[in-house]
Amino acid sequence: MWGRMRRGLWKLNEAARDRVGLAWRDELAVDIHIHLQDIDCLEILADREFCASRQRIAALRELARQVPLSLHSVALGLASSQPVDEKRLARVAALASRIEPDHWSEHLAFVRAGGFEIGHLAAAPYRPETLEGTLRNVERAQHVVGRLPHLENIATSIRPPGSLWSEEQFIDAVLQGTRTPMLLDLHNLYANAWNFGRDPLELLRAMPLEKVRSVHLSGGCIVRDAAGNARLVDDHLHDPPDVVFELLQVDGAQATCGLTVILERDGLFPDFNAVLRQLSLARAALARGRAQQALSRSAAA
Amino acid sequence: MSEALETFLARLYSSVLETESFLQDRAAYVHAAGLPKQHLVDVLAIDAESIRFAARSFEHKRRRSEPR
Repeated sequence: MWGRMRRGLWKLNEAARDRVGLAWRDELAVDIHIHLQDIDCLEILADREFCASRQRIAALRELARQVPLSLHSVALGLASSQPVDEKRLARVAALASRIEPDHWSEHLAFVRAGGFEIGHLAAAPYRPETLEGTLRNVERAQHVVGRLPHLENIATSIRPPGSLWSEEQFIDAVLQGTRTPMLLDLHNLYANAWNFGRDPLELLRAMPLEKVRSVHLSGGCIVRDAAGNARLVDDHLHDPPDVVFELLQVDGAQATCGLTVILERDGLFPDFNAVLRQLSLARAALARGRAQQALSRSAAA
Repeated sequence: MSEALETFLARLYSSVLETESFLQDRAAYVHAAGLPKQHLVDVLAIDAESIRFAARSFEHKRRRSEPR
């Protein structure tokens, strides 16, 4: 099962400090190893490793011994009134058992239903039946994998038809019902704010920030729809915009424990120095947030 | 009943052709898909540009093989 000692040590670290790192991509492997001293944590995409060779798994396990590693799953479809995909769940569990990551995570999304595969993350209707199914699925995932996942908010370009609640109400209800930590994707939040005409700061403050344990940073681009409306697409192919770091600062000021911050990039990789600069920007934003937090705590005392 | 709505949405999101077919004649499409009447208002009210954009975005991402 998961390494008890490492878990204990990192649990101490989690409470003690923030960590800033990035998502593992084979294209970045050499640079990641060269600059490992500047990277506090890494994220591995679980679905890409289901068919990994024994050697690769051993390498990932070794990596997990050097640096706290998040195992990030993308296609379980936990946020659904329909049951989680058991085969995928078993694969995630097997991977977690072999790699022994610091923690694992999944999205609050549905990816399939009634035999139709969406092939991407979609927001299910925010309503009681979805909540009940999600609670069942998360409980099942915890039972099979052995630990609760961090649950991530997703970007959506359409308000889920049939919704009775807002996104933040749904997320809060899931986190309360499952006692799971939240993985807050700040660019997903920004994209939803943009696409639905909301203030990103207001949306951030409506999220259960006291439950956030990990954060994703990424970028996207503006695309016009057929009617000429500008929409923000979370494509992971661009640098995080300034607003994402501003939101991170606010999150840092509100967070009740150490945050694991992961920079995600899926392609059009910039020079690695630019990646390192983005990690520095994230650390600086967190430091500003933590300073604000310390000030308000001392003022309250 | 949310299961039926989710299945209906997954069907629309899984193919641009399905989405366009739905937008051409919503009532006929919903009837053919067998969606319970209680969700009729929800799906008839879907903003055309939003669902078209969402379906195209899903299609694009499927082609890129990026799952998120």
